Amino acid sequence: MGETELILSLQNLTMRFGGLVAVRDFSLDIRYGELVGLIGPNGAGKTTIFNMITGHYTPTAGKVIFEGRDITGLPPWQVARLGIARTFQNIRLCREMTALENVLISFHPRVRASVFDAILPTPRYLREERRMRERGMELLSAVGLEKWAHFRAGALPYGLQRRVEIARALATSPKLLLLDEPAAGMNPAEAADLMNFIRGIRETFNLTIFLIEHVMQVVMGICPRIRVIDFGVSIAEGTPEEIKNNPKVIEAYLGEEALRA
Amino acid sequence: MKPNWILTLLFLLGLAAFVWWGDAHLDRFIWRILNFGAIYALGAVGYTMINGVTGQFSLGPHGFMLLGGYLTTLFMLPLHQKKVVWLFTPLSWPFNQFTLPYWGFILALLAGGVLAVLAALVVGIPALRALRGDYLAIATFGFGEIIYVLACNFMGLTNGPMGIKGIPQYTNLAWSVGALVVLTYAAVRLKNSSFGRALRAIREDELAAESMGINVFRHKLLAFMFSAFCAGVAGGLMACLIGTITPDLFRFFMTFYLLMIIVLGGLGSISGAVVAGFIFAAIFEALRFVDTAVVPGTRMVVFAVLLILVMLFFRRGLFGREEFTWDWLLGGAKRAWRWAWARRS
Repeated sequence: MGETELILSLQNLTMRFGGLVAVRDFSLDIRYGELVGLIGPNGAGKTTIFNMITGHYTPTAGKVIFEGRDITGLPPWQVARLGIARTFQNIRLCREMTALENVLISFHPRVRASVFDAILPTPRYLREERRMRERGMELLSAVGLEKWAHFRAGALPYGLQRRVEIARALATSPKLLLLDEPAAGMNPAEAADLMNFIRGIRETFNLTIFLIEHVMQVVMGICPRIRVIDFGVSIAEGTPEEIKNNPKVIEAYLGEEALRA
Repeated sequence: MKPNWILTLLFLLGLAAFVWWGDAHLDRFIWRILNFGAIYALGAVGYTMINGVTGQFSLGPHGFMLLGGYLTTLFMLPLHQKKVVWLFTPLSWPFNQFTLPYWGFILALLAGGVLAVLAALVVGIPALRALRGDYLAIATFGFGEIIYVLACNFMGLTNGPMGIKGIPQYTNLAWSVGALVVLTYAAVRLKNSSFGRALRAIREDELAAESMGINVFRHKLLAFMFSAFCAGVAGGLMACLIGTITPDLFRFFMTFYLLMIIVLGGLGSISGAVVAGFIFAAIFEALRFVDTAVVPGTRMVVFAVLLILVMLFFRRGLFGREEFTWDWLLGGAKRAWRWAWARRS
């Protein structure tokens, strides 16, 4: 496997909060176009790993290499501009704004017109604004949300809010999409629906996806490669089949119930 | 869409006609209240941009108003008056060398605004980068107090606590309402633009906004600078309306007034800030008898009670976060007409 094929390389990441080691010596390579799942029990450090990638935390030790560039410690907005977008475990939409406006926020960093252009407004700004709205609607149509474009995001049902959040992440034109428990709080039917949706956008937008999941069936059904962590330490990696039968994983994550089943 | 544009144009023409007539013929008492209303509204429009739209709790606009007020005064005060006022400490160069004629008033106001923006950069770059919420409020409050103390002690520029008198009273409705219209237009454009969406996103969820690539610090600074500019211009207009200026004119109570106005109008609503600014000026004068009847300052008690009532019954203020639109007004008029028509018998 050549270095150039790697989109993301996490090298010996460690995150300490005072005396607590949330993540210890975590390494992972993700190639272009892969769909990798990260699973682990509650409090295993999954979201902490995401936060280190996106710059919300600066790792205590270790490096984050994105497309061959060391991005460790860059602020989140710069990381986002390089092409890493994320969603959050507990949906973080701008609830008072419409679904379309939420998507337009992600276009803002690439607006070339100045504040004065926007205030006057100059034709240059108006052109950009019109183009942004068109692209926002296109994107919402691509994810099947055009009907809801002008609804207040906070008023949408939970499942749709999740999709708006993903659409907003897609609007940043990411190369790598980080999804933090996208199926959290969904029933099995909704979760299955969402997984089809994620598979769909991966093909449409030619994305690499790194996904945290809690619902086992979900991640087993969609990710060809799965990494398992427990108490901040990697304990296994492999295909869903391998993971399912790994005694360490069964012990740490699936527990006794799974052994009986 | 089109008819609304025409309505706006008609409204502006009507407003211009009223201002032109009012400056010449309006009762001086009412004329003065309207001027104060426009000035408060202008300060509030800027203030709601940082406090309401961006959701960053600043308590510093009185400092920016003070800077704008003094710089405008130093530009406009006639030379003979400059000789009379600075008795103990002579006025510093270059202000002892020149004065601007009437047409220079716009330059003086702009300079006041620009000085306030520069001060906003000095305060905002460290404060907005590191602080939010209560801590930002305390830091900006501290800035306002520092400016006050400086104004009391830089005798060579401000004549200290004795203040400056004899400022030409250039402010009239044309100036105050004109500045209000221009900066309100800018505020509405800003709020509804892509930049405004970024500001609102920061209010709603800062973490999400920065995860989408928005440079949160730069946008907070943008809103802070806009609010400082409005406050600086408002300060200049106020100095040239009253005709005297002392550091006490711009103490914390001024920020408190503006805070009441933007809460009354609805945090984040620009049209709300404008409407509430005029309402505030009117009530403020209407309650003057309370001060003379009881003890000075009683009307602030009445205001505090009013504010509590607003919080209890209109928690989101007059406008919430919405803006005034012609559709809303026409829709309301249509509904009222239907209601009246249905009950005509």
